[in-house]
Amino acid sequence: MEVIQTLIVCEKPDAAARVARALDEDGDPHKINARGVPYYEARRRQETIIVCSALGHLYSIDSKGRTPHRYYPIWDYRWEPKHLIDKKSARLNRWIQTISSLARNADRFINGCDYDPEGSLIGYTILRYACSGAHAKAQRMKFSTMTEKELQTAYGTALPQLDYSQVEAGRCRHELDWLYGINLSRLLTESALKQNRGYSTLSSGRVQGPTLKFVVQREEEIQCFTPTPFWTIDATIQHQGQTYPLEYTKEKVPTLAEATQISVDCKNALLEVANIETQTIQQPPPYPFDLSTLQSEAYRHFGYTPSRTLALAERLYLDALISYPRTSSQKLPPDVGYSEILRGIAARAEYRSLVSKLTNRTSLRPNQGPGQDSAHPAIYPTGESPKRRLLHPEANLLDLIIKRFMATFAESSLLETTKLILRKDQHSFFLKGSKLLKDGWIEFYHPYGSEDDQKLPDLRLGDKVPIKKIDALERFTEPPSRYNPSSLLRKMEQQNIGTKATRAEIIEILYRRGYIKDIRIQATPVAAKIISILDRYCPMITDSGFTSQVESQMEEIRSGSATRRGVLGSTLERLRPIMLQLISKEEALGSQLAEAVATQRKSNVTLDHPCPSCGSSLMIIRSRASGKGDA
Amino acid sequence: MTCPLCHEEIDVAGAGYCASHQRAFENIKRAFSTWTVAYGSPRVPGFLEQVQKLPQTGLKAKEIASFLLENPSRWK
Repeated sequence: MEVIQTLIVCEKPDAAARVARALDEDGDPHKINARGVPYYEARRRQETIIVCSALGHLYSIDSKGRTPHRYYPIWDYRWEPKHLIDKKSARLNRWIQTISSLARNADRFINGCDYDPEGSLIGYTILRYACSGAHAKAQRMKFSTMTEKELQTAYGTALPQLDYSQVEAGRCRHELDWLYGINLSRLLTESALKQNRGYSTLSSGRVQGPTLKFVVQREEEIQCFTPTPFWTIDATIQHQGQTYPLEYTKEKVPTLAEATQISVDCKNALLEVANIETQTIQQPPPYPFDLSTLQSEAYRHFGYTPSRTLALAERLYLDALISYPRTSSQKLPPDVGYSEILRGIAARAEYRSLVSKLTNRTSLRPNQGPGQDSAHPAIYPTGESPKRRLLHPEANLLDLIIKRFMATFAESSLLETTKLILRKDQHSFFLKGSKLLKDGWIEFYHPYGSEDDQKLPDLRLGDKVPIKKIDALERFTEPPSRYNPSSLLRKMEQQNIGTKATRAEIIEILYRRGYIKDIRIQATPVAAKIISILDRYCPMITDSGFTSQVESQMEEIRSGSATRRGVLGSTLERLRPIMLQLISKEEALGSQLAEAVATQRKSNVTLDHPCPSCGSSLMIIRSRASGKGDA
Repeated sequence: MTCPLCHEEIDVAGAGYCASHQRAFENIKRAFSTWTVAYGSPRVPGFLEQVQKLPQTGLKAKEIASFLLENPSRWK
């Protein structure tokens, strides 16, 4: 009987190993190493399955024809093997050669990369260019977790053709980003370089520009901020040996005269309990995690930056411990198998008692959120136990995801809040307390969603209690807070710029380029200069509204209601005249940029404190041999 | 014309400073009205000196405050 040979292309070596293990009849595929490129041979009935992998993108975009290295503007491009474009990617040549030779013997081709526009594009370019046009007859595996069961199902029910809408959305994003990036970055770098004040790589991009503008605008607000005064009333009462802080009816008293008067009026006063307001608040369980909420919670509880959380989540996904993390969905459809996952989670002693509380209930229904994603559900644990010892941050993140998953099925919590209103003539003070009546989901999400009781004194209506201390405190308004990586990512999401897969990386690029610094993000002078120039000469480039519009169009390509050609055409129609206008102002632009670069370079090598002997600025001088610095 | 504080070009006709320092100047003028209501009638130099000392004040606002102390005629 004839044996069919199937070639499956995966995105990463770890994923290929997992797919091969899941599809091999004995769960033990043969690993082959071809000049440092691993691939797997799995046996399944009358079929040989070769599972190979990429290393992310093996193909990328380059200018068409031979253009000088620093030339711009460039509008013609083509897809090329990455190793021909970027010297650092030289080893990818062997990967392409290996896949090409494996493709020669294959009867059937499957794209087994992650089911998203990036994965679809990685598989598509490999099948098209390395496998001699096999994309035309290739199939597509669709999965959200890397568990054996789901991979086997995805293989058995592979889509008859590639998911072209995702491929086209991915192509469009890469092509547009390349055109924006190459043209703007070359223009900025070259115009500054022509001023003969040294080389510095300057860049901007379709998403980078608006993101940097958020930071620069915030920095400007902080730098120009002038505080204004207000007063708060700091008062306490004592009851049965306990001291309780009071809130004055006006949170901020606007004048010194009024604040002083309140303080004088209420000094040693006897306050009467004039009212007691009690209400019960029902707090529904949290929604399942989408990537942004996971990143935000991981930052809040563990201090992990969004890019670190994504990297950790991808490790957990490749280990089949959680579902695909780059999702916008906040929904868990029943077909993910709630009970089976909970049974898996219960295998770990620390979760067993919590799981039993959920499974004892008659029905399991998660609190679905509004977030949607056509390709994947919300992030959930698979219920599998780790096969290796997890690193501490990986274990933290998995714990957060497991507890969030359980919490979404739990009941609402009930919180009783009480407000005592105490009066002295026209002055009112509040004492607020709260008590958790029913834990509900908070028990499952502990310690991430804990609610501490705030006790109140045992006072009844009409009771009188003396003020122990009262002061009017002078305060000043605060400037707006700086962004941190998590809040900047949230801002990008709110403004619909970038994708869940790219936002964290864009923030990292801004750090690497020296445009932003510190965890409480500050824009550097060169960043402020770039944004000011782009705002002056071509505001569209830094306009988040325009970028967001392009993002929506790419979503339309993904859903099939727009085409790549249409979106590329209309966007380039707007980019071309802007580039030409910028080129006509190249000299003015370059001289301003060169000045900012020189200032930043100087500040990077100058210490804040002066020389103790002569008082002039201290410079950091680095040894060329060791890289060590001296002042 | 250039900004007397940072020597950047002044873009807007009628402005006395570059865009950033102009914004800081306007913030200080606006803040002074609030300070006047809050404290009664503070004197401009005292107000500017205190603004300079406060940790919440932004760098450009401090530069403007310092400039206005040295050039009282610019407080229009």
